[in-house]
Amino acid sequence: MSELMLEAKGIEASYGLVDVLRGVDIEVKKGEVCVILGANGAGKTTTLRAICNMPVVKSSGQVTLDGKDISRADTGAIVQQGVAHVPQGRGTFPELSTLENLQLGAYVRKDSKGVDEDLDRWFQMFPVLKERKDQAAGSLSGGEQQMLAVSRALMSRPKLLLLDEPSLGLAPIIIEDLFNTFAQINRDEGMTMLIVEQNANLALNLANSAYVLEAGGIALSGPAEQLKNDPAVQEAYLGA
Amino acid sequence: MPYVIDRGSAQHRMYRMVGFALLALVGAALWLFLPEFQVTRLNRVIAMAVAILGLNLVVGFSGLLALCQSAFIAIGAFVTASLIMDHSWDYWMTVPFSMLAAFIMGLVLGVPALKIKGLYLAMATVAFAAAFPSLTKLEFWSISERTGGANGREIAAIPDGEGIIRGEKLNSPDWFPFFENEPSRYRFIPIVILGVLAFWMVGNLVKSRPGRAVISIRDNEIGAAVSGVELRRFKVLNFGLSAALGGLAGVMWAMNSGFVAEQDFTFVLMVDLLVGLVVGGVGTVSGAAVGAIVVVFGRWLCQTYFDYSLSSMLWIAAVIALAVWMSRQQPSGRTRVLTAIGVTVAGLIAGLLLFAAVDVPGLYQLNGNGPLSQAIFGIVLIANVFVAPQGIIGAWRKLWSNVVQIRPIAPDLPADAESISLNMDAVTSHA
Amino acid sequence: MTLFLQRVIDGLQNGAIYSVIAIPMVLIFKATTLINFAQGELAMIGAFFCFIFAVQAFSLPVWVAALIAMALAALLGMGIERTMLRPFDPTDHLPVVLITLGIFYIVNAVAGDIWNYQAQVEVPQLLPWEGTWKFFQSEDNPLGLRIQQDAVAMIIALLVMLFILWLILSKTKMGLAFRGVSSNTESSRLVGIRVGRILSFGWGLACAFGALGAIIVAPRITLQPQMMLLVLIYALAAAAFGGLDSVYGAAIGGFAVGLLNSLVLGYISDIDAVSSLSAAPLIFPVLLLLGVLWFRPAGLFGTKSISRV
Repeated sequence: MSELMLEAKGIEASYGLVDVLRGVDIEVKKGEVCVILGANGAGKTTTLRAICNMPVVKSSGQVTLDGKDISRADTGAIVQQGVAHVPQGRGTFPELSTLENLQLGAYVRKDSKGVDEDLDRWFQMFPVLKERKDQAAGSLSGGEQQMLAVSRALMSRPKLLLLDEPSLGLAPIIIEDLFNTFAQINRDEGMTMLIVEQNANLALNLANSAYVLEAGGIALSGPAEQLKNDPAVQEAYLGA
Repeated sequence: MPYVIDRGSAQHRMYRMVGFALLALVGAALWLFLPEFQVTRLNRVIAMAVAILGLNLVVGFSGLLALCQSAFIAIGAFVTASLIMDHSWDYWMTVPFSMLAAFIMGLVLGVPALKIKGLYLAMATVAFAAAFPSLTKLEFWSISERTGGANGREIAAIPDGEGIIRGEKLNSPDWFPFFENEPSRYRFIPIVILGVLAFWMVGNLVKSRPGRAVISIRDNEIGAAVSGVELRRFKVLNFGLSAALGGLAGVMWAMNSGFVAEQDFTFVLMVDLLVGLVVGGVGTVSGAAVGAIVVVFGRWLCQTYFDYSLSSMLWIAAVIALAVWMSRQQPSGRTRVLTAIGVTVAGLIAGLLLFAAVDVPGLYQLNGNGPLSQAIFGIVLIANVFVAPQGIIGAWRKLWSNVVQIRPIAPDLPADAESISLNMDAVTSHA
Repeated sequence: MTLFLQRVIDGLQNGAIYSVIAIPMVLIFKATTLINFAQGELAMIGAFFCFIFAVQAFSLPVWVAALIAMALAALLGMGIERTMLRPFDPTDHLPVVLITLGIFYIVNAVAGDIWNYQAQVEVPQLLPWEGTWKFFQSEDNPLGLRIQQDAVAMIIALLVMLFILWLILSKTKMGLAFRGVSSNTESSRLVGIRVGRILSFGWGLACAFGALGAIIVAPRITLQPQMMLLVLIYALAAAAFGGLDSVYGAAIGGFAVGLLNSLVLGYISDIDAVSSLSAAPLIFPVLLLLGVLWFRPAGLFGTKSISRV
């Protein structure tokens, strides 16, 4: 039994004629928080999309989830295998209610009792969602939508949680709360997380390991502590 | 292997002249040697070609799904009829005015058309084109009198009380020694002149700066806007021009048949134009002519020889489905088109023979309403999307480029190519 | 006064027909953001399927024939979506227009050929009520206020249809997935929804209800291959008016179009100068359609995002 939750080898990806990823290797150990850093356009979002084999991007390479090869599987099957992806911009269903959003999060599950339990759990962790459970998701604030998006992803009881720029567009206080929540979820559930972030400081504080993506390729990788103290990273991403 | 010619060279000019000469020869042969009733159809082809050319300007070059060309043709035809019959004008005098009427209507429609996006525009314009002909029945502003209302109007010589002849069918005038009893053959002359002028003008327009601006809008709207192309103005003018061409087609229609009625300009005409557009090749100038030939003569062939009942329709559907399926098995685009055409032609010939041989009573009956041609057009529309989205001209160009290839000349780069700065003034100022 | 009420009633009666045809159109738009030009013809052939099973080839009870017809229409719709529309990027509009127009033509031609463009005399009556209720009859108004029973039945049927649709869309998992796909297709994929299957489901549902609608209105607008052609434009206007991705909007839009049409045309025909507008009645829904698309593309209840660039 490998200790790797996710192993991606040689990921190449393109949108139409534009190549974005030129051979990327990523490893995420079980139970750890891994972060992908990089500037805009480096290909961070594309990496997550390629892992999920989303039709919007043409991707190739080998992806293994908890020992199982998901390189050729379609997105639905990958989700059923236990991957939850919170896309950039939250990806809520704006016209549907908060509750319905969460119910859709549990779409792949067959145990309705477990689903109800989980609903209660996340309502407890995020009471504001319970308050607004019948409200249209599009009317929630940015921070609330982010909480909704994360809860929705967790409703499927995934093995691996992918988060694409969760701090984008949120006020600093909210971001702090959010990352504390991530830490809590990782601690309490042992949830393996792969987070794409531009906010390098926060990300590296939370993470166990990190990758730096530049122009479609991995520039640096290693334990988060190590990268935090790396002068190149400090200059480029930590504003030192 | 292909013979390469540099664009703009003397060889290129020769090549084009030979091409046009051949075209003129074929055209003249058709004009002089086809039976009279077919020349009427030939005239219709030219009118449709001009209309499809106009449609192409909007759909093909501008990327707007505006499907109301049949309404512009109607305007052109009815304005001509009214000017001739009510105000004793000449056919020739009506040309600029009918075109202007259509142009104005195009501008008026073009403004809201800009606001409405994609499929909604298609929906709105189709509804408009379907409803437009019924406008001829309105009574105020004496519209129904000018248009002849539900019965249509004949453009003919009518002796007035004082012996004045109002309006004239376009027949060979006394001083012209030919075609006295062959009105269609005479009418070919003004019609083909107008047609050639229209094609020549559009052909030049497409290569000109405003023309290329419009194409740039189609290819990448945001990119075009950022490069300084004034979107709105061009789009609206383009719309107006396309409408004007429709109006011209309407005049040609009136010239050809001498009779205008609302039933000729319905939604069916609109779909015919669309079929002609896609079969010929969206975004190509010559495609309009090819598409017109296919639509007019195709419909005639179907209605005369093929308009049998369900059995033949199913045969044709099966043939085309087979053609599509077999062509999809082919690896490359070229063999795909060849397979599709080959299988379709073989299947149709086989069908003709089979149906001629099997003389089973009740197997076929001539259905004057033409469901078969309609079904075939429907199948053609769908098949075109799958098999040959570039149309006949697109496929032809691919094939022919293996024989003769025109090599474009690279533009001159400034001496110091390192420092190309974007001079916004140069980019934004055009005619 | 009676005249006004009569016009209102006539408007509502016609409106029910438009609603019944607009709703399937909106369902397809919701699922796929595509406008299906062939919607009317697919509904028409559904009505003819019912005719075949109830009158022409077999003599099944009408409601059985109707159910079979709905199933067949659903299969036809799903087949078309799967084979002809799925391969295309929904933002590339021209192929979609061409294909749906092509299907329109083919279905119309096949129906016209088989049934010879004739209106069928014996029309399967799903709703058995006929006759007219009359009120307020008086000397100068001998006809009184006429409410036709089959129209009322149609309105009731429409409400039942809406109720069933509501049940399916709000209370079932498929329905939730459908609304998810309509709301955010990418996120739907990310929660594991098989988007392709939901699209098929949407088409199947739309065509089944379209056929049902056509079966219901057939006795009123005659059962013939051309039956939907005129009504289609009214239905388009109704759908746009209500908001192209709102089912309830389509229902309300249908009644609104019917009402407005009846009132406007009615009063216009009293004004001599423009009375002849009633000779070109199609102009009204076209103007309404153009007006809605220009001023408020989202219609009354549609989501604003459909009007975005």
